[in-house]
Amino acid sequence: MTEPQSALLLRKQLAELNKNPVEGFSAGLIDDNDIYKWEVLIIGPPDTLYEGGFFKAHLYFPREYPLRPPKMKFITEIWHPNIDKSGDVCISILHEPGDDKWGYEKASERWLPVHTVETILISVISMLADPNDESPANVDAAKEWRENYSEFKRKVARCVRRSQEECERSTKK
Amino acid sequence: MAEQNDNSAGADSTSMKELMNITVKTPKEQHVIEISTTASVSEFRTKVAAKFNQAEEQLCLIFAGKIMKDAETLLHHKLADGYVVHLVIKSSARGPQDPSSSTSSATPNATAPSANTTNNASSNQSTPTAPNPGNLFGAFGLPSLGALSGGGLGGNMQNLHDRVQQELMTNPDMLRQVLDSPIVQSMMNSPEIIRTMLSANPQIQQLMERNPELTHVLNNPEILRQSMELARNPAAFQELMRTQDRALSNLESIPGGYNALQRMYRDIQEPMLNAVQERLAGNPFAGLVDSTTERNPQQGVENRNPLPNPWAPQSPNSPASATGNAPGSGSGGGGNAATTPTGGGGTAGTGGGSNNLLQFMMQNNSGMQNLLSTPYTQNLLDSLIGNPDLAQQLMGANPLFAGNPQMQEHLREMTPRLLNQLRDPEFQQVLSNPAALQAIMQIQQGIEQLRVAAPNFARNLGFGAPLVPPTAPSATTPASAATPAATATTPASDTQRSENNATPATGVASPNVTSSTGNAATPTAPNPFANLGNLNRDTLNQFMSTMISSLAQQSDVAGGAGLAGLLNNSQGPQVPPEERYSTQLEQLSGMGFVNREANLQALIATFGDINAAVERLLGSNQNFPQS
Repeated sequence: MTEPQSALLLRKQLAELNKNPVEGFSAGLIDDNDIYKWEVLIIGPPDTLYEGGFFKAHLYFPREYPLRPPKMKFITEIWHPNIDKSGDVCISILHEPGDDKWGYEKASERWLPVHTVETILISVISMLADPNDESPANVDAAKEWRENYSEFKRKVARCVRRSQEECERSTKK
Repeated sequence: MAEQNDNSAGADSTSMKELMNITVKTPKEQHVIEISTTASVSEFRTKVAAKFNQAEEQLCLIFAGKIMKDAETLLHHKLADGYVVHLVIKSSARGPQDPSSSTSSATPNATAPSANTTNNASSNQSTPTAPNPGNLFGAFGLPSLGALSGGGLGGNMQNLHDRVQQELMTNPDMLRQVLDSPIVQSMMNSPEIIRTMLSANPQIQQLMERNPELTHVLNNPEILRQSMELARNPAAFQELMRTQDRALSNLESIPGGYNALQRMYRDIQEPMLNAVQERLAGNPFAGLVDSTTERNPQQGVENRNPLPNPWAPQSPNSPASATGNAPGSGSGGGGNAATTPTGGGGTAGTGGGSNNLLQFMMQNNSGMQNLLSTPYTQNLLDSLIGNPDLAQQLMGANPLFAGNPQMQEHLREMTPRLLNQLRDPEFQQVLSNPAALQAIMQIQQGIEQLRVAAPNFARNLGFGAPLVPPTAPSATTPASAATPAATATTPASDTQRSENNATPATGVASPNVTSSTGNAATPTAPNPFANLGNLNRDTLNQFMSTMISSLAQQSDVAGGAGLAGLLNNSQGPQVPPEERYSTQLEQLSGMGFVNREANLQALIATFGDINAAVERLLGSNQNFPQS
């Protein structure tokens, strides 16, 4: 059985990430038999509100990868303006390629086939550090971030604590 | 390393199966752990704990997106030789033993400074029954470190931004430093970014809404880059201001230049109509209107009567001819004269020197364009075309044509055409194009010279004899044929000018003499026409009229006709060329053209255009600086 190009590419990326992981996250497969579904653990970036947290997220790659972008969804609860309440990540590089129908993003800011798991995750980590409140996925979080920052901090802190508890549980098991 | 060997020895005791090397890394350090492929996570954790000098409970091992649990084996995680495992070290002092977040952060923890925060968090977490918001802030905001750690990145951003802005505003040196930094430099090289930044600024947005032109400017990457460059480079900025001042003062030092500036503001920039309505009192031509007529008291009232013709031979005109004259001043080019600085006098001789006029037109392209595009001018032309009689009357009132019925006849034939041409955008372009004006000037001078040098020849061609009907085709062709002659004998243009200078109306005869002697002094071009100054002015005028007629026959050069009509009224320049071109002369000598006389001639021939003068000087080799 010959694997499609997308699977080969993803496998190559996975092997590379296992050997030379990138700072700030760890990536693997949810199910070893499905190269298209990835599980990543993002380590809360230092010097941000999310420091100390462990945020689990899933990446769902389409068969057309790398021509089309994967979807990313946080499994761990996370409070962030660009991550909606169900955990879906709203970041421009994960948007379908081509021109934005609302004219908000340029084609160059959207999905490009050059993106890899690594570049996606780096973008997400930088997004954690520096939210973009111009296109919020979680409007409440964006509003809080702008207008009631202390409340926002408290909510993020709660998420971080829960993610740590989760980690704690798994370690102790 | 030795320790590692110990570890591997220990691993051997656990299992005798094959070993693999796993790299474990934290943000700060990384170590290689040798362990059996079948080892459990808990065994692995023990080894890592020993290696990193941390308690086992504080280690969080992550691989392939999963946190490794003690119950699992490495095999379960599909760890293989050469793989890398992430390690996050939680705080060493945790649980109830940790009294407060402040002590925990004060606790010296060599492994990872970031662990402090984690520590705080977990200390809070240890008392989950009473979640104290203040403590939580302590854990995550760390107010004491606010600006630098987590808190500073988000909400304090605005404050930070404001602070930075203030700082920059008060400290220009810092601004310059910032502007010099490579990041900003690269940003400046990308006009897109700058534009985005600018348009994101609400103040600028407002401005742009109010002034569409500004939007234009901001959309021009070149201008943006230049202005950024200026902001960065104080010298360039000063230089800019200086040249601006210099240009203005230069303009002022030209006789009438100050008036011109004033007028530019008053008459051109404000709608012409307003100027006529409101500034009749200040109008130099106002005196021409018979003061006994009932029109003068109208001051301040809307005046529907056009301006009087400054060249009208007699001021107390019948009302009919007065109205007839007035549009003429606008259409026949007199309107131009009205805005010409040298034309300010308002007496019969104030048409302004043709050279000065041309110069003015060249220097004030925008002014010309403004003038031509004002609705007032357009209206004038329209009304003249609609009423050819009026136009003829005004032409007839011109002293030049007054005593020459035949000339008037010609004019009558030509007028509608001329007017049409005046409305022609192409012609208007010609008027506002310095190069074209210069060319026309040269043609005029060439013909003049031809006539002087070879009167018989010129007469045969139709120039010398003013009464030759211009309709004859033979008259038109030579006009154009004369052009090359004009350019070929350019040095003589000086002669023509000096002749102009010497015309009786101007009192400044002496400087002209110097200029002509200067000509004669030039070895290559001994000037045979040096004494032409006493040429009969009437003859000249007649010639010029003929030339106009001839030119008017040619549709292409027709633009020149109206202009020539203007030039015809010319007086000599009222200032000696040395003074007029003093700045250019300095520039030329600065460039290394040492022959001042030659420089002056070149400038005279090029009407002060320094570039053209340089070309001219370079063209005539004898003027090239000897070195």
